[in-house]
Amino acid sequence: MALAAAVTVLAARGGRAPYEPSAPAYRQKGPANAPIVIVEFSDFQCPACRFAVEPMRRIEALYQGRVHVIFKHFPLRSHPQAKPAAIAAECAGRQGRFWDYYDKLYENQADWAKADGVGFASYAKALGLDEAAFSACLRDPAAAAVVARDVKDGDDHWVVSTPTFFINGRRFSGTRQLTERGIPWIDKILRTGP
Amino acid sequence: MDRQDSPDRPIGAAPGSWAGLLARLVLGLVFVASGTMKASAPAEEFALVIEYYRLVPSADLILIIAAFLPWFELLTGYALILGFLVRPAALAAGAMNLVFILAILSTKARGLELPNCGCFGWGLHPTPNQTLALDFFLAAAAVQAFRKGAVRLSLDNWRGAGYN
Repeated sequence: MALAAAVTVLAARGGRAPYEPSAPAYRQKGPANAPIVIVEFSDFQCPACRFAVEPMRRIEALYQGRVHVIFKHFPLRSHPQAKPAAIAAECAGRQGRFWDYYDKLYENQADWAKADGVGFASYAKALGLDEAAFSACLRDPAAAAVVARDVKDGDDHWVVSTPTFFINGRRFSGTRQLTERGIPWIDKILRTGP
Repeated sequence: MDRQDSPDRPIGAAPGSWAGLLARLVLGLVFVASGTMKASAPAEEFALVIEYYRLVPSADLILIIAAFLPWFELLTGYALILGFLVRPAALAAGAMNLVFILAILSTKARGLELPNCGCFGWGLHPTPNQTLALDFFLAAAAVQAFRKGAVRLSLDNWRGAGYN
């Protein structure tokens, strides 16, 4: 019976591609050789992801110089504006302002999410981005393809909710797991080595 | 030796035993499906859903529950389908359904909105009311399976165990 259970679960789990914690350089911060690597799969329209911004900042401050953060897009289907927002953030990233745009999107989440994406161009303007290049990028299939690649990466690694964090490969789903279990996990790695 | 059973009835089979078999199979299949969908995904994902209920205070305990509950559901489901230790399995399934019903009712009483009941992991996402209806139905099936025991197509009956 235990064997039947194990076979059922393995069949449902299926084959999964190896996980690649890679992203363009503009979506990474912190020293490349840091002992702690946090990969965040996030959705700009997801309120829980907005609530995770502050805890992530606290972690970066607490372990300054020892943490490398990689952002991965994971726009959920239930959030219709999440994918356009991810593409807009990619376009800001191409101009070297991904993290500033990230802040804008989370700070104004309630506004643009309700207004069907209105505001993406205004945030670009507020950050002093090249507006023509930004607009052209929004229509560029390559920008959407980058987002789609992240989504596939998440799917391949059983990311089903946002935010999902991987700290040196270990999964933490949601902010509570990040703070209550993730921080002790970071401390343990720093104490004993990876 | 005199027997109460009619000649065309399997040993131990009583009128209504088909209803017991049906209850066992339905209950077992639902438990196998829900256990499989949860166990095949990372435990942290199910732990996140358990967090939504705000019933378990410790994140570590939540993760332990998330890691083991799906496997317990799965084994209970297979026990019911195969007719192995039917009454204990029906009791376990009924108890789990009762806990699920109380958990859903408590979220309703506290005004908590569940983005996902967590019943079927990455699979189905029924609403709280649909979940309650399903859980009551399954609890009734567990009672039926317990009452009838392992009378038909069961390992218990085949090996002559005293669990039916």
